[in-house]
Amino acid sequence: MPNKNFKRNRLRRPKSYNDHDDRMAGPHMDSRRVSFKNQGRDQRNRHQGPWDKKKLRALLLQNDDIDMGGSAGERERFNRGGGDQRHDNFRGSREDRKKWKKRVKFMMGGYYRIEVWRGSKYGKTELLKLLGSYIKPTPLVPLEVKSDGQDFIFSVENFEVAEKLQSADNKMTLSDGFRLKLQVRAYVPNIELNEKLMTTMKAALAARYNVATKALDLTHFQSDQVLTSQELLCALNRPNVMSCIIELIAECVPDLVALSLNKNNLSAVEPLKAMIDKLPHLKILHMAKNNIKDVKQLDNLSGLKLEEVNLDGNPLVAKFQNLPQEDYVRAIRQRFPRVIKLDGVDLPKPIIFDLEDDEVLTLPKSQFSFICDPGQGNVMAKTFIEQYYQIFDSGDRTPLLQAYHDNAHFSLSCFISAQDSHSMFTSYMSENRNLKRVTHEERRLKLLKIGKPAIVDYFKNFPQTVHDPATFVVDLVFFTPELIQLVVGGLYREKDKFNEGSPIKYFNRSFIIVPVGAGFCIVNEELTLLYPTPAQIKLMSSKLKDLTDSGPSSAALAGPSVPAQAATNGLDNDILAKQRLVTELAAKTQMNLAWSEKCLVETNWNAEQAMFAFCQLRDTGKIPPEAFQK
Amino acid sequence: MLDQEQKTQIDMACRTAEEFTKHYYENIDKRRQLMVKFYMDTAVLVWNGNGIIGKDEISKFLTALPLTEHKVGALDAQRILDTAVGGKLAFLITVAGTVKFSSKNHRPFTQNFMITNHEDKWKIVSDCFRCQDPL
Repeated sequence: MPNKNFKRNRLRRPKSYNDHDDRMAGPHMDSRRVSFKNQGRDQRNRHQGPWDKKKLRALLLQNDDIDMGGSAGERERFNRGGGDQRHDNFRGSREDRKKWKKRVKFMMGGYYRIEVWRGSKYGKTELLKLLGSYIKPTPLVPLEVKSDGQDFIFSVENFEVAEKLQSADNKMTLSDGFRLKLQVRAYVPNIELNEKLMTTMKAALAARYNVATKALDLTHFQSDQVLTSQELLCALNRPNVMSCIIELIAECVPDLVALSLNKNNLSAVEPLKAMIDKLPHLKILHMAKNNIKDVKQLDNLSGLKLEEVNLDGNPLVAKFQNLPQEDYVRAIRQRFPRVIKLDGVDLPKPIIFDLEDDEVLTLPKSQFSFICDPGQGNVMAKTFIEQYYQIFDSGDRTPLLQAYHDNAHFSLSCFISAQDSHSMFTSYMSENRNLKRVTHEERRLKLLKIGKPAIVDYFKNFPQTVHDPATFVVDLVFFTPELIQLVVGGLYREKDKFNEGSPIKYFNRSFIIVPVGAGFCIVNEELTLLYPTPAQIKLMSSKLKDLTDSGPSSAALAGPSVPAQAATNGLDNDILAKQRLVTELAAKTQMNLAWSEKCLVETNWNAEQAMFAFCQLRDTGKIPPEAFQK
Repeated sequence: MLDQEQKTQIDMACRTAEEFTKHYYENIDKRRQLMVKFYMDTAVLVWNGNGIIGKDEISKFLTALPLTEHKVGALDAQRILDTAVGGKLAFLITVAGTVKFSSKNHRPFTQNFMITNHEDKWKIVSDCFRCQDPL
């Protein structure tokens, strides 16, 4: 039982947080609990000095490698002068600094890069064997082994190994009689999630998953042999790696119940946030022996319905050392009210409020489209969008002149959240009229494009685009003889970079249109650009892959086959479903909407038959050219 | 060229949009029972493609939604041309931001409003809400 561990590590705490209450864990509770096997991995506590702000500042002042954390021994050395004289130590003589620089520093959550000077020519086996024998009996687990010009480079995770390797500098003689010279530095790895790493990660995850208990044990993931045997560096404390892991888990085992992230040097909790949406069944989360500093960080995860949490060995737990035990329990239950087991100790059952259960709270289902007028309005919206984006994406946007009222208004705004960079919208920023940022009256006026020449002029400078109609959501809010309000959302990418897989963007376009004679005229238009969501990026990359797989002949805008989601019930949905079939067929065949519809009507709205009929007729040359005129 | 009145109206559209969105999101997040006051009797709400017509129906629909927490990140507003609204004062407003439903994570949304001056009060004529990812 995990209790064993608990006792050893935290002797100060009593068996139960609430001794007078014996309602704790009956047998029924144990039976449904899932536990992780003790992996018997390295239990030694590595240098985990508390975050020392003064020291960090001093190091920053020194403007050298940043050392985060530090062993007690090291700190003593730094503090030799005592208290406020610390800075002086760093600004000491050149000799001193040289000495410090040479010495590898402990970095919390970091890795250590070993550079063997002019090592390339000796070959990997010789060098690693030599170094391995030097640090014996400590095992050498080299990661990211490579040659960089003349130098031979690899990384290790363990600080002790790094220190020992450093002491090997200038101590050994190589096969050609030269001394082996090396340098060791702490660094934060930048991990590229390439195909090889992803495949290996998947294999490692699969091996660590327990089907019976729906538990995944990622304790000290970096030490996994599947990874180390390929010299892969895979630090779970890098946000991109953690996000990727969560994605993979959500994909393969969305009903995961228990997850252990023990001993992964985690200091940030935010990357785990995605679990709230992606792993709704997660009840047990172990994060023991990490580096989470403050209980407030767990606010990020408060949406998780956890029943068991283990945070033993994190600095945040130590902060409660001198406080009553109840404070710690309360702090955790504030975030996770259902917790009945904390750090291996059973807690009395919580008394919770009988509030609506989040799990049954469901949002109304999204529809692809709302069309206020399924007859004429539907046709108008379809035609309008088809024509508008055909011209907009055509390379020459001058014909759009006809679509705008003489005094039409147009403006653009970009939504860039705090964590996103501006770079994706560089070409749009000069015209960004986001009123949250642009507060000057004059500037707001200037950024409003008034009159069709001004609007079309702006469109001429707007990057060339490829919109993907298969991703469009269309809402026809009003359709009256006086006014039409149409809102379109969807994905696009910039054309010139299309082949390089230029980043996709999401747009929202709100039109006010007035009928003029037999046609229509835009009087107001607001365009908003947004970053795509991870789900949208995934959708587009899978489509792009399909595209390259099936060769360039397939339509660039062909959408994925959309499940007949819209065809649930009611007339409206039926119309929407049909409308979708039409756009899909049109995208696949390059026929215009009218002919695509005709084809579907004749095949009784069976998309497969329609496609089949189209192919047959096309191959026999029976489709008239006007079917492809748009 | 724009005359002074047009300039004033453009400025008014921006300022009204700022005020409006402040009140709208404050109320929808904290005092949803008051939302009914924002809408015209015949207003239209399109919520992720679901159409709801009339302020009472809209109020009912909004009340049934899980708790929300909106954050506005981008805002734009224009005065709708007279041609479309027959000389009535009406603004087109676009909002982009993030919204959190209950304990779920923040997700991006866009929302397009049309508001008009009705008996000296700003009222919503149409309200079109979309989460960026289908739910």
